[in-house]
Amino acid sequence: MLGKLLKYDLRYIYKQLLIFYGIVVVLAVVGRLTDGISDNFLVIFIHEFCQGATLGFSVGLLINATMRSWERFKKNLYGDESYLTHTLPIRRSTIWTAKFLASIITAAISIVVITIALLILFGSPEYFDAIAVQNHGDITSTFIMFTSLGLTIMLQVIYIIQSGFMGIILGHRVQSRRNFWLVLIGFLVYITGGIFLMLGILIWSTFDPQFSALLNSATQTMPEIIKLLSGINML
Amino acid sequence: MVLLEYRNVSKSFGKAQVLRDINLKIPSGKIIGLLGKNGTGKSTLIKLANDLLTPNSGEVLFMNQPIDAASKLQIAYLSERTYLDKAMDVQQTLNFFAEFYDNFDIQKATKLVGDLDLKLDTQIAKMSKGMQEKLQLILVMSRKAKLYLLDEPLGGVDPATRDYILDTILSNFEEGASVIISTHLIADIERILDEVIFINNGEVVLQADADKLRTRKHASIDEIFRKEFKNAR
Repeated sequence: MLGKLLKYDLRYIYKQLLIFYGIVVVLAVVGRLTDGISDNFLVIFIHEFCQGATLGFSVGLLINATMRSWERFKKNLYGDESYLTHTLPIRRSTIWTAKFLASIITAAISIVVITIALLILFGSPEYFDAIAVQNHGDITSTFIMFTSLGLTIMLQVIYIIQSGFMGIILGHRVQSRRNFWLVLIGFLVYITGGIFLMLGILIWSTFDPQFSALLNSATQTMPEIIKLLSGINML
Repeated sequence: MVLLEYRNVSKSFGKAQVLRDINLKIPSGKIIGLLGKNGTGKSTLIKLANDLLTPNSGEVLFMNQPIDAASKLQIAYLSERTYLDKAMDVQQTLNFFAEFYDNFDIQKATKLVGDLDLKLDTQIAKMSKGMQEKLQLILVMSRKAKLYLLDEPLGGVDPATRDYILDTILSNFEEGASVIISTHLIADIERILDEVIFINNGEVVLQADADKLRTRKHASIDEIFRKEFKNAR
């Protein structure tokens, strides 16, 4: 039953999201194909446009994924469709699990697509060599850095989606169905979670000098900071 | 056999007490009219039976067990509002039901779709409210369930279609199953009722065999209802 629920949730979310995926990849491909041609103004314009549009649509893709997840959650569990959802022959826990997994899968695939698009657009041996210089020529460390960055963004997107879910649940608990309150409560959940996490890190660094040294950006390189951030995001 | 039982069930929403200490037993193999004025607790009683609501006190039992995922497979519910996924079309909706309910007869549903002048490739979002209600009725009556809960199935429907809906209900529900129909349109529905339950101000004021009640009172159920609720506050 979990698989079936997940299938319908993902089908709903991806009805629009696939279009964004296609647009992002096409823009990246066109941007790459027009790269390096400097004697034609139109081609230069297209290249610059595609670069900016790829980045813009990548952000739009993440926003769309988040909004579709929230919309599906609210309609399915608190809108008129909830009369169908809650009378299906499945446990409540299965319904929640399906929504949670759908948000993770959506975030993960979206990050992969964005990564592929950015690699298509910007990836080149020279570019990776320039990054590797930052890591003292260590290719493995460069790979870990990019993976950590992708993981960080993915975890943040999942956390934002889940905060929105909490906002919807708590908002309906207080009998408010107005979107303003649902968004506000979701935002407060997001901020509260972040504050608790920062407090935990502060307390930990107070008692652990080695951990405190990790947080000192004067002594750490950017790749190590990104790896640390992804660890914090996992928390 | 007792199919559904309410034991000392009370339900309130904030300060509003909607149901007060309800004790009710629904037998199998009967068509039961749950009759009352608007706002007397009919829909709440039905929603408690399919786990859309939980009682503040008491318990609701289906075949002597608390309502759970397994019992929902045997309970078919027609809501008073349209709950279909508007992103789907009719065929996709039938497929959805077939996937989640292994007692859903998709061939029967497809036939009923044609009988009620609906098309399989029509998007739910493009259907009128009446068409969506017809589709929901098809989805419910195509289930081989033990209990059918129909909440205001005749609301918002023209008189000719009401007769058709009642005939569809009569000819399509599983033998041995029970049907609970909640309505305030008693005159239209009383011809098919085996039992009636009158509910007023969150309390059951009467539960009786329909024919025996008519014989005893020398009046139709509609007339009895009007008299009963004219005197009641």
